[in-house]
Amino acid sequence: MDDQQRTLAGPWGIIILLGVELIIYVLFLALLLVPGGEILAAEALLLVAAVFYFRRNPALGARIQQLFAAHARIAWIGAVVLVLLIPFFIASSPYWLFTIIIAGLFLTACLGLNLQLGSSGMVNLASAAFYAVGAYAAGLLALGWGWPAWITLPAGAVMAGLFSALLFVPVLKTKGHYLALVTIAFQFMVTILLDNMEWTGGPQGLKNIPLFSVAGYSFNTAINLGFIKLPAYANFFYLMVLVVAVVGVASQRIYSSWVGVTLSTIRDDEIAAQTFGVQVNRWKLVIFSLGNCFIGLAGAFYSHLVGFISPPNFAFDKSLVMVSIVILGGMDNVFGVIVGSLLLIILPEKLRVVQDYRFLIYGLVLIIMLIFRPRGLVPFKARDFLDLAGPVRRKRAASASSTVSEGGA
Amino acid sequence: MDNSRVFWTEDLSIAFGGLLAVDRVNLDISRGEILGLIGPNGSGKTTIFNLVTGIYTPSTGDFFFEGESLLGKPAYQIARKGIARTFQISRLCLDLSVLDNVFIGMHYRQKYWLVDAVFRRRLLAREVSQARDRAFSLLGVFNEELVDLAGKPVGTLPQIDRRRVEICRAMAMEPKLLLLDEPSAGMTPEEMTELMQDIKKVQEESEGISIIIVEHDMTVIRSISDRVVALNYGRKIAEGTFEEVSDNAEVREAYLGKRGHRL
Ligand SMILES: Nc1ncnc2c1ncn2[C@@H]1O[C@H](COP(=O)(O)OP(=O)(O)OP(=O)(O)O)[C@@H](O)[C@H]1O
Ligand SMILES: [Mg+2]
Repeated sequence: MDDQQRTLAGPWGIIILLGVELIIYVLFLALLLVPGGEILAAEALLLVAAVFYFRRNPALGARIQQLFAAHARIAWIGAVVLVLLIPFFIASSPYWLFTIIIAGLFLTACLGLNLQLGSSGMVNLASAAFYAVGAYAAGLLALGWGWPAWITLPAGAVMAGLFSALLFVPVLKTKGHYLALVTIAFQFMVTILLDNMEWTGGPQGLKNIPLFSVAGYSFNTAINLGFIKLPAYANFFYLMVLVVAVVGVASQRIYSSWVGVTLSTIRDDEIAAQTFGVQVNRWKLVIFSLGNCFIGLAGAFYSHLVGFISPPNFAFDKSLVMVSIVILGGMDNVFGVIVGSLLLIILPEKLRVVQDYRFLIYGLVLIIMLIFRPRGLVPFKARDFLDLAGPVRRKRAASASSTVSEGGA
Repeated sequence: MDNSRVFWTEDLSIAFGGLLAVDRVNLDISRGEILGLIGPNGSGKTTIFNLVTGIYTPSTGDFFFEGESLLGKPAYQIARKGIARTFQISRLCLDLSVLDNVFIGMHYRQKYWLVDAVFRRRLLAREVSQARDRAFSLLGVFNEELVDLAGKPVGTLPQIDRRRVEICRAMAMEPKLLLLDEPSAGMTPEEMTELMQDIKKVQEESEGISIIIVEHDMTVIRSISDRVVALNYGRKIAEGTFEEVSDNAEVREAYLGKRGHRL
């Protein structure tokens, strides 16, 4: 046991940790770069085998987890470096780079949805509609008034937030599943309006939305580093990583704070929350709007990524995909949402053959999940505030409890 | 008006359809007093708690806390005045840790907000460590072992510990009035005695707190309460010391009908 402890702390621990990250990374890249379905089948088998192996040896899994906890900073640096290197390894296939960016946008939106659905128990089936609000707001502002993208991005987010605040006010008085129904109605209203309003371009949508450019540098230029030429999408990729990082860190910090405790209580038992002084309606309004801001931000990004948006991009099926990502990945767990986005956005692209049955498969996956793993692949974890405290405070806590025991004795 | 009265109700009533679940009830409790509230099943005890915590709105009548009417105030505002409660059927969040459940009791004293959650992690760490010390000392009153379980989801704890966590959650609010709804339900007699000692301890440590306790077990009521009020069909039928109330003819009849053996 002592030996193992030393391994954990020493350089070997770090090497093992980076090795684990590298293996996952290589498997991920292989999935994208090796053509054909065989690689998918092989990795699926490998995954099943790994799951069984770790089930049988829970100690090993626990030890790897400890490793990541002990060297959290190094684990993070390693992961970030690997992510930033992705464009270098798949420079030859812009298509996959684009798909990864799309997955990143879904991730951003789903982190917002996770705040609503996962953290606070508010069912939002109009995420695609709020995605549309962000996208159209950005597109219209850029086309109509020539606003630059670094303003239209936050503007799209704010617009989505404002719309959701308006939508939420009538729902405040109602209880139960009305929010779900109202959001469905909103979803269809938005798609129909977009189809019929002239100033949003009707069924043709908006064309020629300027792509990102910052201080004269157009994101539509390939990056030539001499030894390697990265496709233009690399620009968008790095911007996407930045957006995901900001939204992800914010989400994680909300989860691991008083606000997270408050939201969890509202989700689990509104009456109990009220009884302890929580202004449930105010918190719901705030979180519903904030979540939709994230979704709107992703929408605005989409506008400036593809330059062309039309109503079918924002139909109800997109809302269902986003809900599926949160349910599959794991409610109220940022890592779960990451896993869910990768699985549900990247895998179907790999499975081009079954594209037509995409929704059938989503449906099946959801049903299977709800039966066998209703809390998602990476479920909600009880917050560990003991962890946040660190060594100094741990000492203080220990002395506090010893004071109590003296008092009690 | 008597200054020592912390809380009182005036002709508090509520009807569900045709049923008068609470019928013109007048209660009052002084600072530091423990009031036992008894009555057969369905006599309106829980409903009174739901009325005075703002979960239901009275049909008629009024209730006062520290001289101020709380009628029509939303539940969260009533809580912030200093009324905390436990529930007959536990309402803990089972997936959350013991600590999280106790923390929600401190919710309204935290000035911390959404922006702070994202940008002021130092402040959070400081507040968490203070809150945790307080939570530990509350849990420690009951049971040192509870402190060690603080990081575990409440759902993994045995029934008696859940009851204790629920009382700690209410105490974390630093209330002036504590409403306990059958805290010993589902416990063995030994566990019950232990819990009652705990409650006494809690009351001694936070002097001045008033407690209204609903209990079916008469030995508990006899040992813990300063004064007893008996209800039947939503009406107050007797009030006084335990002996006075248990000698009351109407009370005997109410109980003999269904559960005379309990007295
Ligand atoms: N929300 C409600 N809707 C309709 N009737 C209700 C409601 N809440 C309580 N009642 C009725 O009011 C009466 C009083 O119920 P209450 O729960 O207050 O009784 P109690 O004294 O707490 O009983 P017990 O000892 O069983 O807990 C019962 O007849 C009950 O059915
Ligand atoms: Mg009851």
